[in-house]
Amino acid sequence: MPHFFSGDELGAIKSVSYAQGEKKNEWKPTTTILVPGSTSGRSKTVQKLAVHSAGSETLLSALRADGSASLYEVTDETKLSVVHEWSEPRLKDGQRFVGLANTESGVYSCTSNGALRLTKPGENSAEPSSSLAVLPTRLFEWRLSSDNKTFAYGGDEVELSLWDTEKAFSQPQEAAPQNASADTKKRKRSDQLLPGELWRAKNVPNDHLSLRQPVHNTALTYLQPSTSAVQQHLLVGTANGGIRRYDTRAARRPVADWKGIGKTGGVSTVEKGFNDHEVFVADRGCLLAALDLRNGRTIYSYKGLAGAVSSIAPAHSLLASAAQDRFVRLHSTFSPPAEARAQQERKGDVLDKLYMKVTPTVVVWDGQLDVSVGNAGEAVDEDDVWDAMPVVDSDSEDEGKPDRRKKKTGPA
Amino acid sequence: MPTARFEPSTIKNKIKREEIANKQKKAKGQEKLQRRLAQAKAEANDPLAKKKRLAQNVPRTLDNTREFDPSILTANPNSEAGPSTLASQDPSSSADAQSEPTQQPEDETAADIANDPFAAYFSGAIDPSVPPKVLVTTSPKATRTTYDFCDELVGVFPGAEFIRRKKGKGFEVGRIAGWAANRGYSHLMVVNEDTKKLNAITMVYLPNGPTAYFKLSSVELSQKISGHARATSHYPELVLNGFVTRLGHTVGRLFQTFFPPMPEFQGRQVVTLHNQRDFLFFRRHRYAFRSTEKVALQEIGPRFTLKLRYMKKGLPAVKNLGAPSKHLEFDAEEHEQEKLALKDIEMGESGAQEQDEEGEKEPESPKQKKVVPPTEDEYLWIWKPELETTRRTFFL
Repeated sequence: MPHFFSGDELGAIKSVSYAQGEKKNEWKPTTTILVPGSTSGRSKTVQKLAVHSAGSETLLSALRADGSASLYEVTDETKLSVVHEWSEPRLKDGQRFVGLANTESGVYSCTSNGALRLTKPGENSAEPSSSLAVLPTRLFEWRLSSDNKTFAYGGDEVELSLWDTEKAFSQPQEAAPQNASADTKKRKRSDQLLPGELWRAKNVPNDHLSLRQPVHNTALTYLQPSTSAVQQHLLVGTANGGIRRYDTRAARRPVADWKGIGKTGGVSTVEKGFNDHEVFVADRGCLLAALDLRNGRTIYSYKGLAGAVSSIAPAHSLLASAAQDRFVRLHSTFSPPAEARAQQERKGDVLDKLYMKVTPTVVVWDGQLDVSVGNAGEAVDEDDVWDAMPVVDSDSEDEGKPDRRKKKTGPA
Repeated sequence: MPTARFEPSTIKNKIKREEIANKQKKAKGQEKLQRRLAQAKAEANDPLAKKKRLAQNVPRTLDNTREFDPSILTANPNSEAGPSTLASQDPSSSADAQSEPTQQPEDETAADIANDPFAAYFSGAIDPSVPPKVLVTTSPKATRTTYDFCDELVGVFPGAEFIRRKKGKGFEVGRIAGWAANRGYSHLMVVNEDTKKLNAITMVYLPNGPTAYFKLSSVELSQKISGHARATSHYPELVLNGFVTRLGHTVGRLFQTFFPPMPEFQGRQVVTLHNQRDFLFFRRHRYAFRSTEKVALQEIGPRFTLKLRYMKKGLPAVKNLGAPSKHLEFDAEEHEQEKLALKDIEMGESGAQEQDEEGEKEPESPKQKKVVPPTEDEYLWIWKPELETTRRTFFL
């Protein structure tokens, strides 16, 4: 029984859990309103949700359009109890939250004007505390890595950048603004790393008319957990519908740049799937597609979506999406073919569409893998996939890249 | 092969075949006429029978057998376990302390409608006697047909003003929408033509969207309508007919905001937007009371038909791909804000209240702020053929 949380434009948080019907592909949703929405205005719009489960307890954090934030403890799957509430006063009018991560050490939140905050809810009679950091403005997406050691952001004329989490919070707060003013006065090299920054991407080369290509990163995600902080694989979606893959160890420019993935209005979300080489991409039109990371081809796209998908939440063999047409949909997913160029045999489908009455803005998976999902027949397929997969080392993801890169890193 | 029914088509002689066929056709017509006359005679004596027949004999149309869509705001007629009724019902039985968080689903829809972008018009925040300012313009390089149609449109919407689309670059719809919003217009309407034929209307609600794009067809100007009445400058009454889904309500509410909230009844003019199978039929009539029971209608015109193709969340986007690169910037007021933030944390809840108060003060500033069109479109709804899984699927 996969279980999702969704936030909507009026600030309500709902829990959506799916139970399998008699048939294999029949899923029945059950909705519970956990936090009721406001009846006056959209200032309480839920902009980000994140779930962290530590042991038995599950924590859900929510960021709202007016800068308020809350951390809830999920009890009994249908009830929330407030653990801590705080607000982000640096969120200005016209800005929004671009990142949220819920970890053991606390809740990270980031706004589009670069106000990064780590909030530690005081546990065991400790005082709640928060530490602040300053990032550049015009951000579109901020993500924390799975081991919490690094984070990455990208935005409008803000190149993809990888930071050390600890250093970002420990740096003197004054350093950053001074740096900015120095930038404008002395015309310092703009690609100089900021304190705490580990790596920054470089713009792609000029086009065939030798015109500069605008930098407009709209979505990003980490591709695989990494042991080293400076060695990350990142995937970025751009405003002109391109998907770029970065390997921080290999180059500052993307190791793969796939154009024309997002059809209308640029990429809005990218999310890594649970299968190998699988990534989900949504644009601001009505596209939601699964991509093969080895060659950047769309292996299948989902049918019947009428509005822009604002948030997606993969949950093993399933995928939930929240769209502007007021539906939360449950999709099936299938792993990409074993060979990169082979035919994709089974294509994902919309299993269930649930009308939400108020436009849902975020959907997250609660991260709890249920046994019943496996029993329902998907587990057999999954096992087959695992069996059929060759054992490879960590470089297996490099297949989609030019050969020269391999040569470079080979000796090292 | 002898059959029970004789088919004249088996006759090979053409003259004979036509003769027999015409004879049969005439006989059939006569039979039908007699049957109906007999029925009329019987029902003249017994009006109950007529009522019964009419009640029973409802033809099945695409429209009245439409497929149920959970976004239809009325209840599902033929199912008890529709997703809309399922929502938030189950837990209330298990958890009795849930009475506060679980709301009635209808309330949620009502709250959603009450907080949509058109809420200012419906909450009475604007002066009901002042017509909303509507800017009517055309696509670039318009021709006579478009200008004629625009003249008619200006006559329909009381606060409308026609301005020619400027030539040259830099006059994108999004940019025009931004300028219009800064000049106090509440709507922008762009009439599009293709190969000298009208083909689309874009309606933009200012200052923050949404933008609706309609296919435009079957345009009939007033002049072409025989026996048409003359329009007066009175504010018309508005009839919105057949909008049932949430998307339909959005379209209907958008259309409603084009007219002043208070009609001038002495004008006896009615503007109708009738939705049937997702086609929106626009008509304008004058009514006249002939007696205490009879009302006569006279069409004023124009007539046209709209079909929604897409709806965007904001104003139409304007891309500026050639903009020079910007340096990394940091928020200037960071320091003061941080101090505030620290205070906030110390004060805890009281800080949050302060924040709320600030939020209330702020709405004055955005009014002075310039409306800038976005660089990215976000679609609320796009029509595409694959959405129409059956001929009985409708969206409005």
